[in-house]
Amino acid sequence: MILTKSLKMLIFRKCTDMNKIALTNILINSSAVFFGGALGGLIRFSFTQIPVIGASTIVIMVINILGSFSLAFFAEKYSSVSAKAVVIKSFIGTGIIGGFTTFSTMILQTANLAKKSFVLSLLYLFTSLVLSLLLVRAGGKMGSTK
Amino acid sequence: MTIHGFYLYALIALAGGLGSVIRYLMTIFMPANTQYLTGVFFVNIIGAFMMGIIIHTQFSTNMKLVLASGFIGGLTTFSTMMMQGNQQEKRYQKAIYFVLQVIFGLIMFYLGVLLSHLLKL
Repeated sequence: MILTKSLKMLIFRKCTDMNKIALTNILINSSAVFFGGALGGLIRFSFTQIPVIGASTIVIMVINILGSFSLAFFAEKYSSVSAKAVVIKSFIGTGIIGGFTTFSTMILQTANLAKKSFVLSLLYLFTSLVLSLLLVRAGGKMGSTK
Repeated sequence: MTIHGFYLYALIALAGGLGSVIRYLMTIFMPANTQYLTGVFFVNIIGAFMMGIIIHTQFSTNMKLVLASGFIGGLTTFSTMMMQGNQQEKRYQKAIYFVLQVIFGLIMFYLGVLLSHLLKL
């Protein structure tokens, strides 16, 4: 209990530190985010082009869950605040994984589902959030045990 | 406007990169970075609003793909939202964080749909 609490505090502190350093290297980090975001967007788009199931809610759900897990994993793995680690984190975390996962499509699909069945749309939102939250924790734990 | 094949992928990548950079800059420079209304929150609800505007317009399918899948997909993020939500200390705080974002996302989405109907885009 104390361990998880201190871990959370640690993550929180790291994030604010990260922002401070990022401010000094804003251009380098922005370009890292640009290329990462382009790559992440392409990977997501390729996922949605899978025949038959590509446009379904399941694919977006899997994308979001996978992304949440890997973001927590990498954020722990590269948890140092050196400039190099921050650039790597910007590229992989903010760029690739941030571009890979999507909030807007989830909302769009929820709205589309709600036209057919309100319960189903709630279930979709709930499943996405709960499964991702569980995997964020798992990812954080796996990343921290080096 | 017809775009296909390699150019479609290239444009989606470009738009995704641009969206991601805007998200990155917004999460850093957001002045109102409170507990629940973070940069990620604003980025996500703005993205949902834009999605609502674009989705029922007369744009070509590929144009919509570039804007929706590429730009808005890169602009909004689910993974950072999950991590930030997980950093909320208490369980009810996590719940507030997620529910706020989803509810406002849906409201902004429907506002976007309404706006695109009113403007007859």
